[in-house]
Amino acid sequence: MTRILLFFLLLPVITMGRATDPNGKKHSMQEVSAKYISSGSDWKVIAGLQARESFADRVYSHLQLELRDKLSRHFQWGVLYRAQINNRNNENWQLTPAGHRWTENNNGIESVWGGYGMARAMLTEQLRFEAKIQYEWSTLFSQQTLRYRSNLTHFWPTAQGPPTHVYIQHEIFIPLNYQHQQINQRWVYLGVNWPMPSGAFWGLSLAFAEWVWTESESFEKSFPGDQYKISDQAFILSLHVLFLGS
Amino acid sequence: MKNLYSVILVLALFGTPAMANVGKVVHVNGEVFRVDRAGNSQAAKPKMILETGDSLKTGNKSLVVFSIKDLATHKLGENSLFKVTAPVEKGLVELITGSLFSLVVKKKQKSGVHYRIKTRAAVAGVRGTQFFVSYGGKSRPSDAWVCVNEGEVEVSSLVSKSKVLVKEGFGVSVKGAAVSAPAQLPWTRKLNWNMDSSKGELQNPVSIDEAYGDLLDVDYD
Repeated sequence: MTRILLFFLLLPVITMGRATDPNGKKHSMQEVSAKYISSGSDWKVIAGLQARESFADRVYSHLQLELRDKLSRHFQWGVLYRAQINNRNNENWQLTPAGHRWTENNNGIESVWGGYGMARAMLTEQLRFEAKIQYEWSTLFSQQTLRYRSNLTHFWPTAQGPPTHVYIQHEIFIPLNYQHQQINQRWVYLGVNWPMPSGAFWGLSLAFAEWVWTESESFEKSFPGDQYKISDQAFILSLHVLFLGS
Repeated sequence: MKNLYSVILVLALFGTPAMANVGKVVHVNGEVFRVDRAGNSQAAKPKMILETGDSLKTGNKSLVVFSIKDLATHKLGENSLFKVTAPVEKGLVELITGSLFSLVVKKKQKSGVHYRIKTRAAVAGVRGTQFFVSYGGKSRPSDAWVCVNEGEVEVSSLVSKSKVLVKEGFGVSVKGAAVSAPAQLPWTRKLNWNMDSSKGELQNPVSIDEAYGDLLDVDYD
């Protein structure tokens, strides 16, 4: 717990003094996260905290709770709840007295409910493929999103405990009831997790993320018939710690 | 005639030390065979005598509990092969493959008999009383594991001769020349150390392959 607190206390130091361009864009961001995964043969409880630099010097952060069930050796499913702040939604491009501005800092706590299914298969003795499809419903703007993630993980197994592993991962976000864009977020990750003597894992990952923004409702009201489409890209360096239940 | 008696007497006293009884089978579950030095195999039964050069071989879901003189009691797990390779007074026995639980008599340790379990990867020199040795699992056939439940065991690699003292509650792996640092291994908590059928189940639920875990079951995200 001390380590988790230290992470979040250090976050402002990490993010201090990082340059942003006049539109609040960032080309590199940093992230810290902590996760706990309970032990259990079939049902697992997963709790995670995450904080990440976001646009316009805001810090996106969330608390996520999951319940995951193993249907078989190859298939799992789960449900989740996430409370997040400072998440930039497409509808946050709103008309203010100063003109159209991003207003995600006015969202308060955004609740997201979701469910997912996962399939896993070993491609070789040490290389695992995982596909995950996740449905999410955000109470803010009632947005529904489908996320698809594919992951390749290479393990170095040991009987001394959970194994060190490296992974590459690709994830896309498909808006179901908003935006005319087929894919509005794309993330590519490269990461490594290694066990510590205490049984926890330290992890480091580098991600490239792209967000695509199109007309918001506020924009359409102000400029009927007009269209716009812009995108943001950033590299995200993430440090995380994972606690596994014994 | 007198000479013949002398020869018989000499043979009786000294002529058959290699064939001496060195232990006996105590309990058998499933398919277990005793293979003698000539390669003859027969089903193992309780009270069956073991001699130097004999092997014990277990099949699927089988085990055998046996004693080696008054030095030690062993439980050989499924799909395992154990051999008494040297005169047992030297204290050396060999686990060719599989898993072996050992309960070594403390007094004999103090009397100078250094009981040792040898695998192709390592030798476990017993200073303690109760420990587990595994070698030759399907997933990692050249890895050896030693875990100590009571006392201490000195583990040395046959390749590098490096030695590590493993204390109670700890275990090490031996991979080639490398002996890992002793660690508390979560999977060893599930080992069934019982060797007395009157005290409950003997079957050990943990195999070394399972100890490596199912990589499909590893969650990190």
